[in-house]
Amino acid sequence: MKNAITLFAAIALGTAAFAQEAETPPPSPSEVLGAAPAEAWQVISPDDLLVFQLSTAPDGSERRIVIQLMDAPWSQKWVRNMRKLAQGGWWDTNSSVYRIAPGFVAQWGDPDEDRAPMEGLEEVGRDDFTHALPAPVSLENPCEDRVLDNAFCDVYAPVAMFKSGWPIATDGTEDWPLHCPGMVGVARDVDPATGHGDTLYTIIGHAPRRLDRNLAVVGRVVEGLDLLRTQPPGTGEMGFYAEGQDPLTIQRARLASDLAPEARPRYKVLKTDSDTFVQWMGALVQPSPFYADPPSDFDICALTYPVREVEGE
Amino acid sequence: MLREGALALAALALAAPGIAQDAARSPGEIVDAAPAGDWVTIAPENLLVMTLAPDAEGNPRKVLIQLIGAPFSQGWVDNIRTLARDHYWDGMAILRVQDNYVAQWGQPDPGMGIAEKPVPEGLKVMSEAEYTAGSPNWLTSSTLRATREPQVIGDWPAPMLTDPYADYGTFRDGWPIAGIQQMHIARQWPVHCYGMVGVGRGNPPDTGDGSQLYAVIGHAPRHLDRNLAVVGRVVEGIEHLSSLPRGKGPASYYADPAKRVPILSVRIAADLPEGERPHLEYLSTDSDSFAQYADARANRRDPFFVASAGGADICNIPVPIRSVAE
Repeated sequence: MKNAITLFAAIALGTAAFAQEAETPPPSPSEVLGAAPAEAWQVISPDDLLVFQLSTAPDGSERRIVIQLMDAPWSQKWVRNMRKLAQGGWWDTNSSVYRIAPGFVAQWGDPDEDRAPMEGLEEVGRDDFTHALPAPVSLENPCEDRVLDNAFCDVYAPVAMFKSGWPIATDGTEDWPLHCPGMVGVARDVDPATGHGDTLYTIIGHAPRRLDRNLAVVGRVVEGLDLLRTQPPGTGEMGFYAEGQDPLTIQRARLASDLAPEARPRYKVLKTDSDTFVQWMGALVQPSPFYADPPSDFDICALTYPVREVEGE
Repeated sequence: MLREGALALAALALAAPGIAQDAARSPGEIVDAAPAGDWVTIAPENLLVMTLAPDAEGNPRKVLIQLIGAPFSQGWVDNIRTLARDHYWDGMAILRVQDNYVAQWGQPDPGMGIAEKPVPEGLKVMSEAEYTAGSPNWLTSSTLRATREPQVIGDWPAPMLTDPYADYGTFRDGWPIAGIQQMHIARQWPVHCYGMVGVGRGNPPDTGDGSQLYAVIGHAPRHLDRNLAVVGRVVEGIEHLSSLPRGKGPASYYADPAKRVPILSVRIAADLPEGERPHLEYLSTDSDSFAQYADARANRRDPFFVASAGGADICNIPVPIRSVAE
């Protein structure tokens, strides 16, 4: 509980920073990332990028949604199913973004749900929403010490952290990926064994963390999230598109590795074990001329984990 | 298919035979069952009606904003009433929409190539001290201990809970707030949740006069708490702000003036003819219904859920608002 201390520290730092401004103002989070060495980034494998090609915009420009698939050990049954669905052309037929619930989710897939499911998909169940740790881990409560490090005070779990670039929570026996903005999940019916990966949603508002461990989190949107957030809200119940509303049409979905090299999206993710990651977190709590009183800690979902397009060759 | 709402109906049917199944009620069912006495009317003096130009299909766009009550931000709130009564925002525009962050309107920032608009005389000059307000003396007691489960503790009437940004999160007269409680300091402030409205400003000590406003359209940017004044919340029509195209210029200003959505008018509901006033109520955050609702938000027991979080963040317990017919 160091708010007051932080306040005084901020004033002190602010004064010092002011005096030194001509020399070295502390770098902002984006400056830290801009200056990161190449080895601080991990280029995402084209097998882990799923590209949904959408109908072209009214002005003729291309539109797509690119998802980075979740790394092992989380949600891998669904991830394998999604690769199969893409390679089998599942989303090339009768698929669209048919639900926009502002402040909550955008959802896509086949709205009619009357096709026979694709053969060969892996069965899933509620045990698959989490990953069992090899051995129990004893945890300290990060809420006792409000500093921004990679053990976040979390209201939904004993500890939250970034692991291999993903927002993860743990209770010491299991860990699981979180419903932060931009994260992608698998829709299902009441029976937790029903969602196989053909119907997907992403978070377009405040993180609905109540869904953690209740639905499979299978990746994140790395391109096209703003497009989803700016679609007209569905006027039907719960944000589903009503009759006569025109949803974004999905023309096809492919793994980046199945696209021609020049058509592949290329993205890189900041390595969580890099010095840049530590510097980035440090920069987030620096006072600036605008923010005299920055918080000493953040909610993990308030931080957008650094993912950038790979530029040039 | 992630159909919490439809499931709510199913749960209601299941729950109907016996009151014994009360524990399985969804948050929505608890709100629907709240007695009339738990609802509080939003005074027309505290309701701002912002009418935007119709959308491309000619559909009207109206955004309703509830202004925050004492003891928070009242100087800015007074300024906003003065500005609305001066018709200050009429003919201005939504100037900036930044993805997962804010939509901003009214007075432009310097350097954006948009002419500044003089404000009416007599606006109050506020200080940073007004970003927070005092809390009752008993809160200085060192026994207060918020937990992940929202719970009513001691004499404080609303549920309290752990908050990563403060010593506790809670609700005060219908508003989500956070607080610090230490030996010599006990302060509270309204928090930047989805839909909350704040006052844009330049660098300190200029704290903004209320002529430039923003609404949060993404995940709660709680780092803005105590750095900017929260003056209200969008209670209807947030989609008219959150779904707008994102600006492509610096700071997500619209580089293309044609993208700016014009504001036709902003009025205090009390100044509208009786027949045109919206009538809204919020669920009293001091009521038993609200305590049950907060508990159900933290511990989902309706059939869709197989795991219960045992906690919720202050911005994930939105205060229920409803529109009422006259």
